[in-house]
Order: sequence, then C-alpha cells, then structure tokens
Amino acid sequence: MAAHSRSHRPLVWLLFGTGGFLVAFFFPIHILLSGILQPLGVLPDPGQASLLALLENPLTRLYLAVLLIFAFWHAAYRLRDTICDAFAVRQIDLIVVSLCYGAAAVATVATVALLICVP
Amino acid sequence: MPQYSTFQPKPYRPRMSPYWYFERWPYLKFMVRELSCVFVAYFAVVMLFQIHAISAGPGAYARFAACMRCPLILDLNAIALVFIVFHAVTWFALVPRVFVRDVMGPGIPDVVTMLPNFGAWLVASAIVAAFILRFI
Repeated sequence: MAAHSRSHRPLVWLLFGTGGFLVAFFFPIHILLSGILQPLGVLPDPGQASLLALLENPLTRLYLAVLLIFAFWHAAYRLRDTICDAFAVRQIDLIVVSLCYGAAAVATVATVALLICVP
Repeated sequence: MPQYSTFQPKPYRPRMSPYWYFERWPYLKFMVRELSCVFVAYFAVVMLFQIHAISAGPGAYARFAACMRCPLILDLNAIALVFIVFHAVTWFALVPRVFVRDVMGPGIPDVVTMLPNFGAWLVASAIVAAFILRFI
C-alpha cells in the first residue's frame, strides 16, 4: 500500500461509533421485550393490528431505519476486526472486509425496502 | 554502497498464537465485547423479520410469534441480551474516559460521569418499552 494512500477507516468508524451508541441505548430493551418477555408471556403482546398502526407512523419507520442500518454497519465493522484478530487472518482482510461490508450493504437495502413496503 | 550479504538483518515478526485472547482476562474481555457484534447482527435480522411479519398480516405475525416462543430462539435471545448489555455497559463506561475528562479535567470519579449515561439509558428504554407494549 502506498504511504500516502488514505485509510477509509475514519468514515466506517463514524458508522461504527454511531451504531455502537444506538445499539447500546436501544437494543437491550428490544431484545428483552420482543425477544424474551413477550414470547414467554410475562408481558402482553399488543398484536399485529396494533403494531401495524405503530409501524404506519413515518417516525417509527425512521427510528427503525436509523437504528437497524447503523446496527448493521456497526456489526460489520466489528465482525471484520473480530474475524481477523480471533483467527489471526489479517492477510485475507480484503476478502473479510468485502464480505462484511457487502452483507451490511445488502442489509441496508433490505431494511429500506421493508420499511418502504409497509402497507 | 557495499553490498552485505552474510548478516542481512531480517525484520522481527513475533508469531502470535491464534488463541492469544485466552492468555489474559482483559484480552478475553475485549474479545467477548467484540463478539457482541454477531448478536447485534442476529437481532437486527430478527427485527427485520418482525417488521416483515407485521406488514404481511395476522397469519405471518402469528407464525413469527410462534417462532419466537421456540426454546432455542429464546435461549439465543437470552445469550444475545447478555452480550449486548456487556457492550452497552462498557460503551457507557468509556465516555468519562474519552470525553468528560478532556472537557472537564481529571478528578471527577468515573461513577459520577457514567451516571448520566445510565440514566439516559433507563429513560430511552422506558420510552421504547412504552411504544413496544403500546401504552403510547
């Protein structure tokens, strides 16, 4: 790599940092309620119709889009380094980075498409 | 320039074990936090399925809810919660070290600077919970 070539790290770190912040604040409550307490029946599930009414609100969709897109890029950034460090395979970084960021890009498109298609 | 060939210096490259993170607790803690990303991606995908199920209608939502009641998924969600809470707590604990100390100078205990973060976390969680449970 040429000495003067610029790293793309600051840009993806911005996505990672914002994602880390949003994930830390909002993911635990989503998992606790939707992933554990509601399926166990400890707390009531408001039902599809009620949740659809919530999802029809553009602000809800904006919140979900921001949360999920940043979460995917946060995970991709960290997964890339985790794979390289945990298995000591920094020499195949280009393949790892392509797979991780590629997956994040696909997930971003899927998130936007799903939220636009809400009836 | 004379060309030496007998004692050419070779760059020193320490060989790192692929299991270096088992050597010390702080290394392992670092790797556990890094691993939380797998669960972040997992639950973000679950949330996409949830959005799809809500949009697709009552039948699809019932299937999604039944899937979430499966013991394997419940266990996975519980593990994901532990990892992500570990990420959250360490993330909030970082703030006083990198931000508050720069702005306000040293001498303020970490606990005092961390508290607003945990307070904000509690408030944010309560607001999101009110929406998920449709109190709002």
